[in-house]
Parts: sequence; C-alpha cells; structure tokens
Amino acid sequence: MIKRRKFLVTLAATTGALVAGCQSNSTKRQQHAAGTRDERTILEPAREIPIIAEPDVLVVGGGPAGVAAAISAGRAGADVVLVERYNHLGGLWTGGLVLPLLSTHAVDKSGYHQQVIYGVGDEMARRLRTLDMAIHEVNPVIDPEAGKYVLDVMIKESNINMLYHCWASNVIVENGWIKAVLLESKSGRVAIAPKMVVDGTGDGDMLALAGEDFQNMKYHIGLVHRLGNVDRINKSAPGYKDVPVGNPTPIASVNWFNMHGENDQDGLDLHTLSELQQKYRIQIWENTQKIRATPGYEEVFLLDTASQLGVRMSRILDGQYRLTLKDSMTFKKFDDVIGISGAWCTMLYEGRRVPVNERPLWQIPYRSLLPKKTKNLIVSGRCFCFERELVEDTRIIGTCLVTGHAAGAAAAVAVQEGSTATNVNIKRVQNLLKSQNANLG
Amino acid sequence: MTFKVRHSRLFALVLATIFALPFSLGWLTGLFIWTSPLVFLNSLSSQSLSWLSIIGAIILIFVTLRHRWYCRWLCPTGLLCDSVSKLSRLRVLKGMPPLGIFLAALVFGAAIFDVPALGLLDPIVAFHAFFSGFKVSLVPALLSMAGLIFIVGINFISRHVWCNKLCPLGGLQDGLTSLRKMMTKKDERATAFDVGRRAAIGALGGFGFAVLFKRSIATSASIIRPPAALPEGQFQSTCIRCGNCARACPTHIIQSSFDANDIAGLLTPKISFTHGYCLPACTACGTVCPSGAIKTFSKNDKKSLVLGIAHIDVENCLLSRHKECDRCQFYCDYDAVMIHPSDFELAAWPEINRQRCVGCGACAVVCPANAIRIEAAPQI
Ligand SMILES: Cc1cc2nc3c(=O)[nH]c(=O)nc-3n(C[C@H](O)[C@H](O)[C@H](O)COP(=O)(O)OP(=O)(O)OC[C@H]3O[C@@H](n4cnc5c(N)ncnc54)[C@H](O)[C@@H]3O)c2cc1C
Ligand code: SF4
Repeated sequence: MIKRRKFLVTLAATTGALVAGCQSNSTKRQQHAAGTRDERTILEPAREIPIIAEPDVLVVGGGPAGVAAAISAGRAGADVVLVERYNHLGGLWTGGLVLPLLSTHAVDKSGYHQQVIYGVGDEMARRLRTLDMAIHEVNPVIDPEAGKYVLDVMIKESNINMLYHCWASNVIVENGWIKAVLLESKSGRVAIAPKMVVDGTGDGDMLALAGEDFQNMKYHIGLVHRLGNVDRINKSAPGYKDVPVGNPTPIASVNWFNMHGENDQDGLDLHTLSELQQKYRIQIWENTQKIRATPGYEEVFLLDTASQLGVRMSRILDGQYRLTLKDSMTFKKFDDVIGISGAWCTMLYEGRRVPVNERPLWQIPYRSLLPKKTKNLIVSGRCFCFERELVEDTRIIGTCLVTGHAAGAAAAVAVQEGSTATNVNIKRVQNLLKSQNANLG
Repeated sequence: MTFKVRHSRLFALVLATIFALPFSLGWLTGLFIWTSPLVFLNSLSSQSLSWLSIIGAIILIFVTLRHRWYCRWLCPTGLLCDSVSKLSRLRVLKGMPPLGIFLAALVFGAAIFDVPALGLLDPIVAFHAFFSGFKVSLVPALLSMAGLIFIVGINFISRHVWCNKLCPLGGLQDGLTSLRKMMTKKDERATAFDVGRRAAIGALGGFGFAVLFKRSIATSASIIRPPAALPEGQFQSTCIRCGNCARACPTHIIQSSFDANDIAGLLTPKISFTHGYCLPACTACGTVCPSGAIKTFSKNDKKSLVLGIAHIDVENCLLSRHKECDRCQFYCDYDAVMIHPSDFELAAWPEINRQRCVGCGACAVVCPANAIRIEAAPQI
C-alpha cells in the first residue's frame, strides 16, 4: 500500500514545473508550465520529495480512459494508484457534463449495425442502466452524479488506491524510464515511484512532461451546464414561445445544455482557460435569466455549470503508429489490435460523403498508444496517436474507454513480465483483454 | 494487308473502350477521342487547343497522305459498322449521294459560330458518349447512347452506308484526298470541284444550324458547371457532349444534364453535390476536355476557380439545437466557414465568407443536417 520514503531530487531543473525557460530544449515543456505569454522566469531550488507510493502501475487522470485503465490493471492483479486533480471520477464525461457515451455502435463490413464498445466501458454503461441512470440503448446519456458514484464503486471494488485532489506536475526520467511522478497536493509536493505509468490526463500532461513529441491541436472549447425544472415548462402560458433548453438526461426534470464555444482555442494556456471559464459562466447565467423571463419558463433554473471546462482537444501524441481515417474507412486489421471503436459523425472520405450509419467500426493498434522514447509510459484517452481527420472519432468517450482499458491491461502485463511498454507480449495483453470482455473483433 | 488492318482496328476498339469506360484514369480518360482529326480541327477553329491536340494533328497528316487512313487503321466505330453490315443484305439507301463531306463542312461551319454539331456527328465522339451512359440515370443514358446505336444500326438497313456515305470523318478524309490529287494530277479537277461545292453547301448549312442552335440556348443561371468552364452561353455551344469530364471526375459529381426544357443544354456536364464534392487538388476535367469547353487548369489555378457559393440555413444547423458539430468548418479547404460563438441563446452559428468560398461543396456534402446548399455563382 502507500509507503513513505524520502526521494532525493538532484536536478533543480527537473523539479521546476513552475520554472519556465530554464529547461534546455523543450519549448513544449515550457508551454506545459506557465503560459507562453510570461517571459520573466524564476529558478526553483532543488528539494527532497517524499515518495508516498511505489505501485506497479500509476494511472494519472481519472477520466473515462484513466478509470478504465486503473480497473483493468487492478483486476489483472497489479498494485495500482489512480491520481485525479479534482474531486470526482469520469473526467469530462461526468465533471464536464458531457453526458452521451458515443459511440457504442457501428457497422461492420457487411453493413451490419452492432455494438462495438465492450469490456470495462460497457460494464459502466450497464451498471448505470441498472440504476435507471442511462437513457437510450445506443449511445446512452447518463446522469453525471450516478456516473461518479458507479466509477467510485468500481474503483473501490478493484482495490485501487484512489488519490483525489492531487495534480501531477512533473516526472523524473532516467535513461528513458519514468522513475517518479511528482504530485502537488494539500500535503505538499509528493512523489510516486511506479513501474508503469498510464497517461489518462486527456491533455497528455504525462507524455509532454516525459519529453515525448506531440502536436497541440487547437479546437473549440465550451462549458456545458444543466437546467432544472424543465418538466415544469408551461406551454400553455400566454406569450409562450419555443426556446432551446438543451437535451434530456435520465432525470426528467433536468436537461443538459452543450456549448460549442470559441474556435481555435489553446487548451494548454492557463490564461485562455481562465478567460473562457469566466466568460462562459457569465454567459450561461445571463442566458438562463433570459429563459426564465420567457412566459412559461419561470421555474427553469440553472442547476450547475460543469466543474471541468470543455477542452475538446489539446495534445496529440507523436507515437509509434498514427491511426488514420483511411485505416478506419478500409477496416484495416492490425496484429496488435487492442480494441475496436465506432464513429458518430458524418465524414468526408476521398471526396465522398460517408454518413454515420455507413461509418465502419475500426481497430486500434497498440502502437498508437506507445510513445517513441519513454519505456514505461502508455498513453490513453483523447491524446493517443491519430491523424486530425479522425479526431471526432478518437476523442469520444467510447474510444477513450477502449484505449484506457487496453493501456491498463498492457501496463499490468508489462509489470508481470518486467518488460518495457513496447516489448510487452502483445498476445498476453490481447488474451487478458479478451478475458475482461473487451472486443478485439 | 486486310488481316493486319482487321487486327489494328480490333486493337483500337479494345483500347478506345478501356479509355472510354467510366473509370477515372487521369489524363488517359477518354484519350482515344483526341485521335479524331475532326475533333482536332474543331478545337482549332474554336481556338481551344491543348497539348493532347498533338495526337489529332499527327493523325491529320496521315489521313492527308493516305486515303481513308483513319478508317482503315484506327476507327473503332468503323469496325462495328462493318460487323453489322455483314449481318445484313439490305441496301435501302443505295441511291443516296455521299453526304460525308457535306456533313464535315457543316461541322466546321457551325464550329466557327462555336456550335458543336460535332457532338451529334463525329463517330468517335458518339463512341465515347455511348459509354458515358453507364454512370447516369436511364433517360440521359439512353440519349447519350443513341448516337452510336444510330450510326451502327443504320448499316443494317443499308450495308456500309455510314462509312461510305454519311460519316463526316470519312467525308473529311475523302475531301483531303481529292485536294491532294487535285494538286498533283490535273484530271482530278472535276471531282475536286464537285467536292468543293458540296463542302460549301455544307458550311452554309453549318452556319444556319449554328444560328438556330444559338437561339435555342436558355442560359439558365442555376446550373453549376465544372471548374474553368467557359461562361454559360459559350459553354453550351462549345461542349461536344462526349462525357469525358464526367468519366474523369474522381468524385462522380459531374453528371450529364437532362432537362426537357433545355434541349440545347442536353447532355452537357453539370455538377451535383449529392454524394461528393470538388477536390481542391483535382484538375481532371480540364485535362480531358477535348473541346476546350472546360479549359485546362493547374492545381494553382484551381484555388481561385469558382463553381458557386455555399448558403447555410442556420435554423437547420445542429448548432442551433446545441448539438456537437463543426463539420462544415473542419472540412473547408478555403477557410471560408466560420463558426461564431454566440451569446444569444448560447447557440453558435456557422457563416460563409463569400470572398473565400469557391463552392467546392465539401460543407454541403458533409453537413449532417443538410443545412447547406451550393448555388451557382452569379455570371459576370
Ligand atoms: C463540450 C464537449 C462536448 C463533448 N461531447 C461529447 C459527446 O457528446 N459524446 C462523447 O462521447 N464525447 C464527447 N466529448 C468528448 C469526451 O467527453 C472527451 O474527449 C473524453 O471525456 C476524454 O476522456 P479522457 O479520459 O481522455 O480525458 P478527460 O475526460 O479529459 O479526463 C482527464 C482527467 O484527468 C484529470 N487530469 C488532467 N490532468 C491531470 C493532472 N496533471 N494530474 C491529475 N489529474 C489530471 C482531469 O481532471 C480529468 O478528470 C465532448 C467533449 C467536450 C469538451
Ligand atoms: S455541418 Fe451543418 S450542422 Fe454542422 S455546423 Fe455546419 S451547418 Fe451546422
């Protein structure tokens, strides 16, 4: 379980998550630290950090990917620590109020529409259904608090050490191995020295800190909110008119309200995140007041704004294999397949329109989760290695659950074998995944 | 000799068919059409030569030096006509005078006025048009096939009548031979005079046809033509309706027009964005167009070629219902779609930048809500 030991950090530079500009060649690192708008720097002195745990597997980030990874590794017998900076599991799915789990279904080569998301992710959806907290058979929309509850229960059942309120801020890399991950917490800065690390931060914080290459994809950032009492809208009120009030959730009186937000935003810039957060919250409040002032809508109220800002995309790993739209459209088969996912939106392919109901299920190769340099890091969730044309399919919750599940299983096997992430016996990983009900086609 | 000729034409038939089938073969698409000296002369008179016109120019030299060289060695339609003639004993049109040279002259007469009588009369164009029928719906398909069926079929009623008496390409070759003989041997003058007279009447007929045809052109502004197409009126009169552009189009958005109200525009190519859009780097239609109705253009030219302009019906856009979507903006290669975040009802909305939009159709094709349509660009 969680141990205490002193860990001596010798290099001032490696501890300096807040020091921008003093690291030799990595502009990406600087970007990860303070925003690029700040030019003056300060040198942080080296200090000794207590090592609070030396688990087999450390999963950083408790979003759909991270939770699936932790559960898979834990069930495979690994000693797992899961670290989350906020107070809940589920990431954008629950805390970001992005409630629909896309895309549970897709068509195969013969056009047959079938379920594609299996394994840990499917188990989450089924448990939520049993609680009556998911609507729709295909692409279920869930209740966020039920989601947080179910994930907490599943993590607890799998004997995983859960650390909330911890922000992973740096890594110590030696000879290509991550020796320790540093966390900021109410107990100060602490270190965890794992054998394997799974990056489940969504933003790819770990891969960037480890010095891996990536692209920073600027995309639209929004803030989702929920409205209460939507079942009390009085359509017969004099002066009533149709006003958008969002989309249904499992709770009849509550709707969720998506937001596209501003285009081309840098999800890694602290100033951008702060400005958008503030602006959106004010907009949402004011819009809700407009709704309430409309005849018939007086009882509608703002239930909550999401506790996680809706950063759709940021880092994309420069990994060992870049998954392409062509791979997905041609049903490409991979020897190192670790999962199958589906698609949810219309695409253009070779100049043609491909509607959702013709979008195929597609295989994900293990190599697309692997960074090029770091030996004990596996990447999962919306930052694994794919081309931008595929982004709408790779960033969705279903795909994140699949890549997370696989990353956790591979980490557990690598620990058992004492191998690197790259050299792990892929057949054993695939067998473990199958035994955990994953779908490998 | 006959043995070799048969094989040469058979080979030509196979080759022409491969190029004419509806596969996008790049610049090879419909390549055989460029061998017709008639097509070459037509391009010459409408000043729309391209580098592929060299093929026709070389063959023109051969047919001037050797009587009916094209018919004997290359013509796939001729081979078909001969085969049908073998099946029949009928000679219904035996007494008819040879009209080939007359029709050839008619083609040029019309071409001077930019009217493609060629499309109706050239055996090679008819051969190609036959195969364009494979890609389109039934009625235009039958129409585009009608030319070759007529040319080949008439030989059943009267053996060899097309090649001997009607074909303008044959007529042209006969005319060229008489001209050559007249220059070398004095006693051929009389025949040459006769040929010249027929040619003159034909040319006059061509002028007349051109005038009538031009009057029937309804310049409908709503049709979207391939990129680099000539302005509408000129386009309809220059296009020979061979179907090469539709064949070459990799996304199959070029289709033959069939509008009973627009007889003059019949079988001309128009763009339909139902399934695909115009790829930013594609230059196929310009390369394969033998008439110059679609000018040759480079990838660089393509950036500023306007097909039409996109219109978004914001009320139908998924964003107005707060659904996840950014497809139009994501796929726009010209940076012409902008999704505005809006504080009014929190709904974002897409807008087209009319300066940048070229009407390639990508947004219209991908839009899951069918909220976008492409309208023809206003004619300048
Ligand atoms: C507005 C919006 C609408 C969307 N709509 C849909 C939809 O309808 N359906 C769908 O399927 N998908 C949708 N998505 C996408 C989907 O929600 C996300 O891509 C998906 O949740 C990503 O999962 P993840 O596990 O990779 O990362 P995340 O969900 O982002 O989870 C990452 C977790 O890691 C934690 N973390 C990050 N950095 C650190 C750190 N340094 N230390 C410790 N913890 C850290 C975060 O707090 C978070 O909990 C939408 C996204 C947005 C923003
Ligand atoms: S593609 Fe269609 S539905 Fe999507 S944002 Fe553009 S206009 Fe709206």
